[in-house]
Amino acid sequence: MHMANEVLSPAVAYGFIGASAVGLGAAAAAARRTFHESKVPLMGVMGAFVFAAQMVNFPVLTGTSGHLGGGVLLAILLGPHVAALVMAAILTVQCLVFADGGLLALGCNIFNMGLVGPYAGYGVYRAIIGGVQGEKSAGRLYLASFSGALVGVAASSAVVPVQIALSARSAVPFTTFFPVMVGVHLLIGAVEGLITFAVLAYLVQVRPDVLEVRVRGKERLSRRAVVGSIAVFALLVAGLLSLVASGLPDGLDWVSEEKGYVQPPESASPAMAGATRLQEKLAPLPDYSAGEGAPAYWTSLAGIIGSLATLALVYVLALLVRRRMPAHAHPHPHEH
Amino acid sequence: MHHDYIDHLAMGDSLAHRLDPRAKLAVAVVFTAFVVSVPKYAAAALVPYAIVPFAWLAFGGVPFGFVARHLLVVSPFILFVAVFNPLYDTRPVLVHVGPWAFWVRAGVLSCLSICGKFVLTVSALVALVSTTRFHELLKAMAWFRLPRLFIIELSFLYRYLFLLVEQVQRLKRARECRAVGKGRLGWGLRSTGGIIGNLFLRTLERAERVYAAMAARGFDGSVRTLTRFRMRAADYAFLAGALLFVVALRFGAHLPLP
Repeated sequence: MHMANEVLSPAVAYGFIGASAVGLGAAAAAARRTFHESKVPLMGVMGAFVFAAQMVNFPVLTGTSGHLGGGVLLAILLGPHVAALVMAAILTVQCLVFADGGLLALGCNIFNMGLVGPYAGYGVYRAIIGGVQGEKSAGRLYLASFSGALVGVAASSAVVPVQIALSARSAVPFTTFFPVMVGVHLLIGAVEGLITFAVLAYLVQVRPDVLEVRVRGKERLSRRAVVGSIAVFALLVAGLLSLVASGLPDGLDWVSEEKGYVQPPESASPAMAGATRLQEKLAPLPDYSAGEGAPAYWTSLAGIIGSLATLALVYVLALLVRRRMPAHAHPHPHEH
Repeated sequence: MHHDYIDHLAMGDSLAHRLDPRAKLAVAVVFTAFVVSVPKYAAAALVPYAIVPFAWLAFGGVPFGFVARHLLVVSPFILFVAVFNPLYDTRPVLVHVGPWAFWVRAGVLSCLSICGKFVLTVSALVALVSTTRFHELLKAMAWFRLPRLFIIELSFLYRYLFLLVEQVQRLKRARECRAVGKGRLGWGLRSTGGIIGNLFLRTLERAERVYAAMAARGFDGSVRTLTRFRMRAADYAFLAGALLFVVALRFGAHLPLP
């Protein structure tokens, strides 16, 4: 669910860049209390671990397979503050090495998947598992990790429609987009929950010391656990469906309109209307006009033709330049 | 895998590769910011912006087929968000294109505008990352005063990425060798948990060894490299040219026309 630049308005994009920066700063300050600065390499290596773990696919049904996101698993293993910093680094590398997710949308992506996901998921996990003292039953660990991962994924997906509604770039109504987005991510979150628990079940068996809490007995992932998780999941989906049926999203929509988030153009506040007018004034090539009798502009066609001609010219020029240069692309291997 | 390929391209050499990473990062960010700020319904206004990423990709020798494939890979989400605009935003708008004029739904314009911005900003990002090596990009980010610890974390992530990806591929191959005829849900899940858990433990131990080795060599939390940035005339020309171009497009075009 990587956000893209173009569904965001500049104000939302910059706002969430700021929010993420503040959030990561707070996470770094909190992590520093338990985590020495010199252990930063460990966080980088853990980021690479999550990247690699995301490549392990898990066949769900014939033809479809799920994979781990990793945010909540990291939060359970290393604490939510470290998880937030690691996830932020992963999202930055996904953007700057693999060009996944927009540059300006990076703030939103870090906020959703780096901060909301791990903290919400870890909160649920801790609420169910309780304090670190005493032995926990394997069932409790299972319930806590499954619900934590599920809630983490669903919570970070729930922020996406809010950001899109605030940006007012997409015309899909919030009341439609929100349940679809969260519904799809409940499915994805269920897979995330299963994998998260499967990893913890393995770790409890071979290296119980890496977990903060002690677990009674040796837990193997049983058929009963899988069936149980499907039941929990079905309950959650049923809950969501009943929320949709009871019209809560309408309530959310009402709230967002009341607060002036999603403003229809007619009823915009003076400041918003001014900003809109300013933006319209600044628009280059004003080639659209509502209503008849508006003057026709030749500019837009000229602009398009001129741009295409320039592209062709640039292409020829680049070909000539590259032909003149000795093409010694040196594919030296990565310095691992 | 397309991921390996994009990194491979950054290892090449061209006029675009030789530009100063700071100038390239600045142009990519400012270009994206300007494109995103173009009003919601101004679809045609986006066309001239294409010159910047197009020239960058062309001079960088990045195959356009590669850019197109990358756009397809990352497009499902954006298509989902944009494709319903014409259904929901049905206000009619009179569009003049040269001597022709026709009515369309406003949603068609906003949909085209979202798709156009998507193509432009993703192309600019692909242009940046496929003509700039990651460690140079990190150094440029450090020059722009991004937090030092975050940059160290990124550099370690990148350095170990290829190593761990190879390791996970070996683990997956081993599973496939053992999984002939097996495909039940419980088994698939248990083996996935095993692979990831195993990878976690190996990574944890590896990170401890790496840290011990680095501490023994006097690592104090900062990485020193020999790379020195120097802005040459070409870098200034690229920076000034690209920035003036987008500023002129954004703010100049609404001047009264004859």
